[in-house]
Amino acid sequence: MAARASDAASGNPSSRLPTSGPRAWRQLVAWALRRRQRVRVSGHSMAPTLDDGDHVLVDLRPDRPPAVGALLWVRDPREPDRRLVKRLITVTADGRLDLRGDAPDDSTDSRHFGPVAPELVLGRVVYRFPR
Amino acid sequence: MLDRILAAYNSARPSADTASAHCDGPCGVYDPASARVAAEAVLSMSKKLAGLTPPTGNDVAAWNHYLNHHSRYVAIKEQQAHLAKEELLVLWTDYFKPAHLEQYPDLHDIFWQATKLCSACKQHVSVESATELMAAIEKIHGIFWATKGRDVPWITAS
Repeated sequence: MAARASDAASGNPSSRLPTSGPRAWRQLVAWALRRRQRVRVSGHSMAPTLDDGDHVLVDLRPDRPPAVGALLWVRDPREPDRRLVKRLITVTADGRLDLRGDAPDDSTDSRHFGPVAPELVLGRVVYRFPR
Repeated sequence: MLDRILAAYNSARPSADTASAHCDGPCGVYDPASARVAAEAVLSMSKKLAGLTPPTGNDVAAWNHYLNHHSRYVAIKEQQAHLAKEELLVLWTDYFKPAHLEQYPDLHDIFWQATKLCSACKQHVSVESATELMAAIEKIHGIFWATKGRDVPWITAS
């Protein structure tokens, strides 16, 4: 059974972003080695996990397919120049990704534009900088 | 220490690469309370109309008094029933999303019946329809706040 977004937000360890400790250090070192991209979040649809003005690091070549609960940096299916950050809540039977904001009232996501093709995924958010 | 350096770096040199976490629509403030207030006015006017007694005889002042009150009650009932309908339509079309429909499969029917009751309240002087309209809005109130994960009691002004 696929985990729901609420499980992910409330503590599925694979989906929680490290902000300190060895897991955070690993991401900062990878960034120093230019293996992570620093990205700025704009908008409130991922609150409280990510909020407007937060900076995150994105792993552009995650070694495994995105897991349910992961935060993904994806091309907007309606506007390829625009990039979104949303949480993966389920993978549909035909392999497409159902994405949602953590703040559903404040989010435009798969409820509006449908599940997205996995090719649109640019990377996985692996770290949030301290605020 | 490192946290402060990193935070300072990010605010000094914000990344040009962005991840949009927006809501595309104007982020509306929704509350079924506005429909409820309008429906309460409809119920109140319907009760007042039902309780009016026409004057006996041909006294102009008495008839003016009666007709003036009658017209005002009808006008307010018409206007507030329309407002209730508009407020319900905004909730239905703008607030509720397909995910809510999965959770509440009879959502469309509830709204359809509620907005039809607004029309019935305009077409007739019916305390019964106005009372049913209040009950329908109470149901919508329950669903609305449940989708927001909040327990908001149903309170009426009158």
